[in-house]
Amino acid sequence: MNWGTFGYDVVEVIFVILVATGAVPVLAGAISFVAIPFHSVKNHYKKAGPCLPRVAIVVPAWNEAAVLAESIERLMGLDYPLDRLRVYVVDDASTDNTPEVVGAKALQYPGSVFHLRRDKGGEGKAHTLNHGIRQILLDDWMEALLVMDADVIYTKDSLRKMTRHLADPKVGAVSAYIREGSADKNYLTRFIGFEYVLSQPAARRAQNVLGAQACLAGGAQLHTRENLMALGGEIDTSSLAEDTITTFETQLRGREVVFEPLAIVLSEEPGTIDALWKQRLRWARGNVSVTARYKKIWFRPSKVHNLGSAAFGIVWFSLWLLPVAMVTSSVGLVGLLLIHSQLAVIVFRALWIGAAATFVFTLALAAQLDSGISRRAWREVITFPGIISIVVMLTAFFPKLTEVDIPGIFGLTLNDASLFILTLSIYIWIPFSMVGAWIARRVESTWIGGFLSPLLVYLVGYGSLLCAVTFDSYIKEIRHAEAKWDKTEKTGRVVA
Amino acid sequence: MTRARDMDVPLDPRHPSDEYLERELNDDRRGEYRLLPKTVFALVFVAVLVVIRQVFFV
Repeated sequence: MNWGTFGYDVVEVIFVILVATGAVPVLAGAISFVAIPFHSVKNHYKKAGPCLPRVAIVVPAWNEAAVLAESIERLMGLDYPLDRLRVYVVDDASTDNTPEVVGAKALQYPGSVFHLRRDKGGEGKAHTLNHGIRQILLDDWMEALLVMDADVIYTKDSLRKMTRHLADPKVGAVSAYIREGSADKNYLTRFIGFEYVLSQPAARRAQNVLGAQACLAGGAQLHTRENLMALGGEIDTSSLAEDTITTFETQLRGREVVFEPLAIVLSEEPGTIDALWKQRLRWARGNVSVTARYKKIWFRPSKVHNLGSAAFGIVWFSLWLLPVAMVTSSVGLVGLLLIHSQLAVIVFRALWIGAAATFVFTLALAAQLDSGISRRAWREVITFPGIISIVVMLTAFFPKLTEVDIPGIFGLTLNDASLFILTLSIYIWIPFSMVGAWIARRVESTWIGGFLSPLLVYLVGYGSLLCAVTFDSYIKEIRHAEAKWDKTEKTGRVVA
Repeated sequence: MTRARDMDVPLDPRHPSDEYLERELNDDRRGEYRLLPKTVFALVFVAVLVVIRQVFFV
């Protein structure tokens, strides 16, 4: 045996395996989006029916005076019997004029709007919700509980489109499509708007098909009374991911969670990278705790729920471990390049052609699922993966284009050295795109941030920005940094 | 075919009749079939890319 050749082969295989880790998120994206058309036949509409239960709406509010009046007004104007609606605003020791705003609405709608106040606030949304839920459960009026955020606006038919699924006794909870609805949109809210199309009317339809929902939207989750009681009559307060834990616990008890794509709820989303970073860091750290908490369900099929299915596990972990996959696949590619492996080019093309095809398919399909958002955010739809990543995809798909044709336009011919540097740059780009996203956040509040931050996000891609946040969550977890409730500031920018 | 949104009922949108809710539900259920042509359209995008690659760059 030639030990030198054997060692080379082993190293080559290791590098190929590392590159292959980058294919897992691509596979997960493909699984999700290929499942979407099956929603035309595998959906919950056949089991739904006319159903208008008595709904108690619990609205956690801390210094939400700017948005509450409009939110309550919209709730009172829903296409839903007013005598079957009650709104409980739980004022989390607000220091602005939230009590006055809610008090005025309670006078305007006696018996329909209630003001509950906590003397000690700031413990987090779950504690605030539980204060309201305890009051609501004191009598048996409530048949279904709607948990929402103070700033969201329900479109007129949204609630009744959610409640119709409760006609099926197997359903424990229903979620709606949270749609970015800021009036003063900027590049970031347009990115978020399209991200929500990808993650809700697209991905959650797929999760309906797979029979397992990852998370009820925090601003729109409707529970049956039975489900709430089965959950102990309260929302989990042990982590920052109470929405996800509620979703999992519902399904673990054998109840279905349904996503209703046609129930549209408008929300205000962060307009700055810093605010988005804080919000998503909270979510990402919550997901770390969820992953650990439910370690015994992953990839273990059950007759009670579908959370343990392989497809759901791949989708869940590919999102959570995406930054790791990005780094390991680049390490593998660079390793293959440095050992002069013939496989470097082959696996690079296979990986990136797969990624490009998946991206094109997902973006083209998602763009049709909410044409209004897609029209307004067409630049963000096209540049969602990042302009530089698009160039990398083009390099994989059409190698002659970037290596011969484009340099040829400028009268250049790439020699071996320049080709090596170009290839190396392409191979290491993905992990570096997260650095670009981090810089975009750092410079945002400086004099050049107004120009440079959007430019960087367009160049590195919105996905890389989210990956950078997830990477930050790893660091925070490793350092055991305090996980605190960092509330996203809302200013009442939502318009219907 | 009369679509739920074109029906006169509900006269009072706060109290939609069961008939209206049923029709709306059926409309929405049938509307999900539009996912099929949308998926085909998205696949056409990918196919065009592959054809361009095969014709001009291989």
